[in-house]
Amino acid sequence: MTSSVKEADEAHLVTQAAAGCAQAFTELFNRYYPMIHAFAFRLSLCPAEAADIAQDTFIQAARALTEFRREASFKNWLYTIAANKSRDRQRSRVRQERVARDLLALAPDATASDFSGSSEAALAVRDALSALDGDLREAVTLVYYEGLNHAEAARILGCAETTVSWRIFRAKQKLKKQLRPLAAGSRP
Amino acid sequence: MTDADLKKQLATLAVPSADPVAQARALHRATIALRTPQTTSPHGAARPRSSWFGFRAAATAVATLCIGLGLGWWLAPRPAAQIAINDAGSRQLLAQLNHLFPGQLNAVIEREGALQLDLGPQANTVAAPADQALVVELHRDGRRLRILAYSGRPVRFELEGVFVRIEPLITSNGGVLLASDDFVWSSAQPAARALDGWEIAARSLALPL
Repeated sequence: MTSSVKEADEAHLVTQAAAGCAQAFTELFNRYYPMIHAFAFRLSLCPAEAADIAQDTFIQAARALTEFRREASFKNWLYTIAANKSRDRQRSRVRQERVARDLLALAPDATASDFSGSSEAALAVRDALSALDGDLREAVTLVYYEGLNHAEAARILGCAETTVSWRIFRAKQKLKKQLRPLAAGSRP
Repeated sequence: MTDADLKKQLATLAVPSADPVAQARALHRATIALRTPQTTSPHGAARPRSSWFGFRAAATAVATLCIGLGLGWWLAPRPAAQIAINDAGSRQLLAQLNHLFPGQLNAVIEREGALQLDLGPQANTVAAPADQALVVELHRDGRRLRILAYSGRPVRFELEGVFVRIEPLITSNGGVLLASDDFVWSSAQPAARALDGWEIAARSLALPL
């Protein structure tokens, strides 16, 4: 399917879903849930949180579909909602407690966790990402993992493009510092 | 470390695959949100209240009468075989009881001819549309438990002296998923006997399109 056909198909689905068509909404959900779930996981670094953020994102999207102005792509609109939901949850204490529990379960001697079998490098990356401030992690996730440019990331995060560039610069400095020992052959 | 090295390292962070139960639950809740009208409009409060309340009072009276008659019919002593009503009857009963206990009704449980209601402590903020109704049937050694419930609303019932809590979910293809703390059952693979040897059957009560 070419890009323009795909966009037309998506626009049609969005229109139908906004009119209350559950089938069209389900199609959009199935198309974007894995992507939003992955995005939410990289923001939260917690599987349970990722599921909750993804759910909240689609509930919010369902409620606000009629307000979707198509100034951004539907995918980027979902990213915006997910980033906001993630911020909302970061503020809540419940989330802090749950993440603390999950991180405890992710200790090196944990046997049953979603990270079991992860390589040392993956665990180091997780630790390095979790050490970043939320705004830096958002920028890294959108630019490095989701492949967006700084302008697109800025629209999603509601800030200036230069702010995203600065956050990426700062995040790279911190990540490189933290991950350098691993690259040299040992954990930081 | 170069940018390319950093990208390579970041790529080692794998994303755990999405939990299918969480995904089905998210779809269910989002679909309900899609169907639930927004109530944030400032014009929402400007409706003619008197006629609206009059209509509601009349509707409540009629519903109460219907429920009374329906319950009377259901609870009247009769051979167990006759209580097994069809899907249309199940839908109707569930709708009537849901009207009587708005947002509180989790399930109607029929056990050997006796009815029991599973009610939540307070009204659910999310409405349960009729097309989210479903039926779960458990069979074992000639015994039978029939549960009328709504997708996404947890149900608690007693089985062999133990309280079981399940969350039934209608999937996007019209199947039913039963999720509990320690098992998941799917109508797509109905052979599994997850509940202590009880045979499980479940289907949506939604009207065919």
